[in-house]
Amino acid sequence: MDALYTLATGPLLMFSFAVFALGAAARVALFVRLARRKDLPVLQGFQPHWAARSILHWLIPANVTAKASPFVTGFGFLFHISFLACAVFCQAHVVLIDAAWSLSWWTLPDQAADLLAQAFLAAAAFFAARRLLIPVVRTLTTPADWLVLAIAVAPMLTGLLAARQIGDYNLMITLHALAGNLLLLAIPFTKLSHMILFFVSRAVTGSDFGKRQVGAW
Amino acid sequence: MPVDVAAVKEVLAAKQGARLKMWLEICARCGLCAEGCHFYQSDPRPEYAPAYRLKPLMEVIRRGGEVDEELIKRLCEVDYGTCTMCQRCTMYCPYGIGVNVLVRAARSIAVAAGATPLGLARGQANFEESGNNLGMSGPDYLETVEWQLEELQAELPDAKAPMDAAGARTMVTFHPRDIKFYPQNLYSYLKIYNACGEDFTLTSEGWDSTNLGLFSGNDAIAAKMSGAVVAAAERLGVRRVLTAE
Ligand code: HEM
Ligand code: HEM
Ligand code: SF4
Ligand code: SF4
Repeated sequence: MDALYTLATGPLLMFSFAVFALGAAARVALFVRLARRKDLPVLQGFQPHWAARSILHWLIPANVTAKASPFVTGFGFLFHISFLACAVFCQAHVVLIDAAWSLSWWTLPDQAADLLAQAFLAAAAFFAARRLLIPVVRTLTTPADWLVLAIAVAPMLTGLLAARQIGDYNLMITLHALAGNLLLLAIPFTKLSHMILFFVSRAVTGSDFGKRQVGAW
Repeated sequence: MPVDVAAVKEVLAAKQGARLKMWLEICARCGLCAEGCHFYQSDPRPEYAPAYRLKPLMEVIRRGGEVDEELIKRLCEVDYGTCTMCQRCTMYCPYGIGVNVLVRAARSIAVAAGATPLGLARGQANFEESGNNLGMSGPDYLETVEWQLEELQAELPDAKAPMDAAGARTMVTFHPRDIKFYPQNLYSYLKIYNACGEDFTLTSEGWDSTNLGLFSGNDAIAAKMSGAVVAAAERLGVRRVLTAE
């Protein structure tokens, strides 16, 4: 178990992080490359100002869907903000990074991280419930959507259980490190690539809205 | 009728551009787009959610283009039968996914498989013959314009409907339905252009700007159809073209 943990927080983590960072950059590069060959108008029509407006309108809830679907929007923001806050600012993580690269920054108090992790799990439960209960979403849902949701939930759940010392700590923290690696590895290759492609897609559509002068929505 | 799999594969390869690949991958299947779709809003069936239109296309891709009649039939029902390509859903999608672009790609697959819906195929054949999708003859078109202009002149004595006036600012085009079935619409258009003093011209060629090829997923005909309007505009040297609804 200890060996596995050492691996998952050492060489494997370096590997996963590299795949995540290079994969993320590659997704953008590949989009541009393919667009050159098969979607040239997308590049020619790019309008930075409209792209930025479109991204901004959806990074803050200043859009038509925030009004049409306030609950999904609310839980969506809770889901993403709590996730990023825990991943980047929880004390344990910053300590690990400090040990590895002598880099450190502001950290969340443990109680806050705890609370955010619970908020995340609540939001994830809301998304799971939608997939089960709302007929439209149920019809659209594929097994891959459940897999991705599980991959997103696993690090949070195991992180919280480890921090709370619920269950076997060694097992939990090892599972947690493995789950974190799995998530990093999954981002470039699944719909989680939206972490990067969200910006590309909104830039494309924002530019299109700009061409028609119809607003950022 | 057996499906031409080779043709489907060729179109599939051509259509798998940067946007298509990105959008099919990142769609969260969250269903938020349903709020924007008039099909879903008027009859909230799960199959009317915009993201549902992506399913047949994803299935075609999953099979690498090896489609059968059954799949093409389902694709036609979903992608022709339940979408007007209005793009309202794009405004409600958090990623701004262009469902209309994906629906059109799906329709191109149907076209390649020889499954263009009859009504659209007929309109396209009409265009090939007469230059407009309702198959109106040139003389019929010119006569209808004359007739509506005369009616209008009873109300606005100075009203004009210049035909092929080179150098005008605006070239106006029509939906042939307005000429053939609802000439009173033509009357109203002419009234508006005259009342606002626009320097406009009608055109005897390329006056139908409804692009059925764009709608049906047939690139070759879409290019011909917009090509006809562009050629007319260039011939007359106008500054802008007013397209039909
Ligand atoms: C910072 C970049 C990110 C942006 C801008 C972003 C944006 C979005 C948007 C707009 C949606 C669709 C609407 C919604 O359901 O809220 C979404 C869904 C989702 N995101 Fe992200 N996201 C980002 C990063 C991440 C990360 C790092 C994860 C990994 C945990 C993630 C996991 C998810 C999941 C699982 C869904 C689907 C929820 C469902 O089941 O419906 N996102 N994201
Ligand atoms: C990539 C590899 C990762 C490693 C090696 C790692 C490592 C750790 C460690 C060592 C702890 C401390 C547990 C304790 O208190 O003893 C921890 C806690 C935690 N981690 Fe991670 N983690 C990783 C990824 C993630 C990700 C992606 C998330 C999701 C946001 C996450 C969320 C958390 C949470 C919520 C806690 C508990 C914080 C608290 O309540 O105090 N971790 N992690
Ligand atoms: S709103 Fe966008 S991401 Fe969500 S299901 Fe519809 S098309 Fe997919
Ligand atoms: S483009 Fe199609 S799916 Fe989208 S809102 Fe219009 S009709 Fe509905």
